[in-house]
Amino acid sequence: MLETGIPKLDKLLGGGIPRGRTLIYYAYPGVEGKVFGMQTLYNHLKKHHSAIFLTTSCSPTPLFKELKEFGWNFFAYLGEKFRVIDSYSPFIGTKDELGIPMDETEVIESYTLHLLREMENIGEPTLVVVDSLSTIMDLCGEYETLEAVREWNRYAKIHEHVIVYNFTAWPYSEDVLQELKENTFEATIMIGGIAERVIFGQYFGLLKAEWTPAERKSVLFKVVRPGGIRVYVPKIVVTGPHNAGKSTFIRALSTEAVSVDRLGTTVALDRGHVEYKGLSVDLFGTPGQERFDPLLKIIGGEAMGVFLVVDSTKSRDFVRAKQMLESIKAYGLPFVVIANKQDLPDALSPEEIRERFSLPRNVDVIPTIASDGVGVFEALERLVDRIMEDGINEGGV
Amino acid sequence: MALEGYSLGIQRLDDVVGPVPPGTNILIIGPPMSSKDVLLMQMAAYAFMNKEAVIFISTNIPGNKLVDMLHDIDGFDEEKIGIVDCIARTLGIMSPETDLIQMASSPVDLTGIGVRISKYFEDFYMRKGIKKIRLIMNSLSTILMYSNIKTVYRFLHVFTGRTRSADALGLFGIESDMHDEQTLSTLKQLFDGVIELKIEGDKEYVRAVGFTPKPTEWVLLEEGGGD
Amino acid sequence: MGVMEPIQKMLDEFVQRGMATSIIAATRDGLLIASSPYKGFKEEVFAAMCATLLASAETSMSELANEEPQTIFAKGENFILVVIGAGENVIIGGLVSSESEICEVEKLAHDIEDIIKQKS
Repeated sequence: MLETGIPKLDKLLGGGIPRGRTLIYYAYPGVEGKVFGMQTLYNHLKKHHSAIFLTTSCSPTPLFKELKEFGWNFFAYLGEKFRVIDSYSPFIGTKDELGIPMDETEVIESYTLHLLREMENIGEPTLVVVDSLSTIMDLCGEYETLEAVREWNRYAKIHEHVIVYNFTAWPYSEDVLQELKENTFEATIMIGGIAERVIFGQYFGLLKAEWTPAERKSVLFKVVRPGGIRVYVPKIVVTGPHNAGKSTFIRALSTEAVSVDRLGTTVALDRGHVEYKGLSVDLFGTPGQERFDPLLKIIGGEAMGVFLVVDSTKSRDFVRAKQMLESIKAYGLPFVVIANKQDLPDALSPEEIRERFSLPRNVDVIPTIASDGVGVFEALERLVDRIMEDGINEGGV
Repeated sequence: MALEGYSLGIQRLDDVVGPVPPGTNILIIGPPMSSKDVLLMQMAAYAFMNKEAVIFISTNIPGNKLVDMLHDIDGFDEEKIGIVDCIARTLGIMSPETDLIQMASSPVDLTGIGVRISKYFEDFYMRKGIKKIRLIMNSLSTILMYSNIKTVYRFLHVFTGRTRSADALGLFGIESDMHDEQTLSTLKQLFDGVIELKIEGDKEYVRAVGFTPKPTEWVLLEEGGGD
Repeated sequence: MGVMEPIQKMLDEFVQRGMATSIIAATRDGLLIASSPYKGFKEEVFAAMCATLLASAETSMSELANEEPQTIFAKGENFILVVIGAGENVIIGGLVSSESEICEVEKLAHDIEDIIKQKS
């Protein structure tokens, strides 16, 4: 097995990529997909294995210098066992002594020729990293490239090479994107952005891997320098007016929860953790009273989504609820309104709450009885779906 | 929650066009030697004055030079500007990226340019809470030198879309004489309006197309482009 | 006479003696009981933040060491922020300028605790 160098991903792949297989890092525009291929390449070199690297949008020297920020020294491995095919420098008319220059960059056969030749020359099963497939498609045409990629993959299979492609999913033809996603490679890793109005988080997930059953799982990541891809657990903030049931809501959802409360009210924060449908989530509850508002910004920082919990019997608190949403800068984050305490006799219905709040149709208002755990997981499901589905739609353009 | 519109910051144009709605993308076409770049700088200056954030994608001036040029403008605030420098790396400048200047590998590296634009959008909109953002690209022509029209179209399709969904204002400059009519008309489809510049004799004129039912009259662009 | 007035008086005296720049008494859930000086800083928020500090420290310490913190202090370049419990329901938060003054706040907290006991 050839490891990708991203432990969480290797786990999803059942250990890594078997010999003779191919994988695509299928990234939506604006998310940091390039790092994936580079991390896989470096991880492989580090173990003193051989590799071939095709660079199409940057000359090797500046690229490798830049990658030093990640703590990756590609220069150390250059030589017979690490070959760099450079189609970029000849394309813009410069010279770079590190790579094997490739001309005729707008002719797909030229790529085929170089790749197959280097795979043959290296004389052992190796790793080939292509960065990136989208540039080649831009230069040589979508269908021509797709055809060639199939040939490269066939060659790799016969000779037990692994090929890893970086790809940015610009709005190419639908059928080409579909082919790349579903049928061209043995494994597809989707790399997407979580977006409301702007992209504010990134995730990767395994769409398929033919050698292992794909678990539908999305993992949030950040790119850190040095280090590369770092997985992290998303934070969801639970906010709302005093006594709306925030702490109860968190306890009802969580496998473990800590509450810092005094005299029956949260004074610092509530914290819970929940594992749900392949996603781990940390919940952070805020205190409700105005005097704690300076905490909201701190607790609300870097949140991926928000639960706004309201007591369905207290419409006078709704103004405060909206104000809290503002305070944690939640505007722009996906949020779900929790119409809590539905068991009380004078509770307003979710629809009535939507009206009083003048909330648009697309905001979910979920009825709950947090004290009995009623509706809380439905609410979590809605919020997680909203966070992820916004991200996935993002790429559709 | 509705944002007020954006003024361009060029009096002559604002008079005839008025504030444009959030999410507008504008193409600014001018011949070589016209005040295209001056106008873009003035539009940036106006943003500083109004505490808007600016994402400046520079394809023809290295980031540090651009900072020198912007630095003396009233209201310049490092916290509110992000530069995506697309050429420093190709010139062999290897200085590390900062919050102020992010560097794409090259004008071909549309993926890298896109990543950095997204980062700034996130930074301004989510972290700094600035909801008015101006995205300025000083020349699409440089991008078009390295990538074909289809590729550039796809790139712009995505990023004019992002400008729209972020309620930002997108301003993209392009040289009129460097591209054929078909390239220009293909690109124009992606924009809500076009600002055209022309030089006649030693005078320079400007007009806006697509903002009003008919193109505005050509008006004389005063020395320096406005006020 | 209720409990508020004597506490207010004690805080005023404390500041007058030059023992602290600002000082508050609050309930454990961060509601302001009394403060001195009355103006010039957002005492409601200060009270709430002091309650947050103490409660967070109590939660952490009881998890880790199975005991309760008696005094919390945060040291800045020129000032020290002190939070101390004064009995079951009350906390004292103050901004002082030297470590020796922390003891003074501790004494004050004791006195206030006594007053509360007497009155209840």
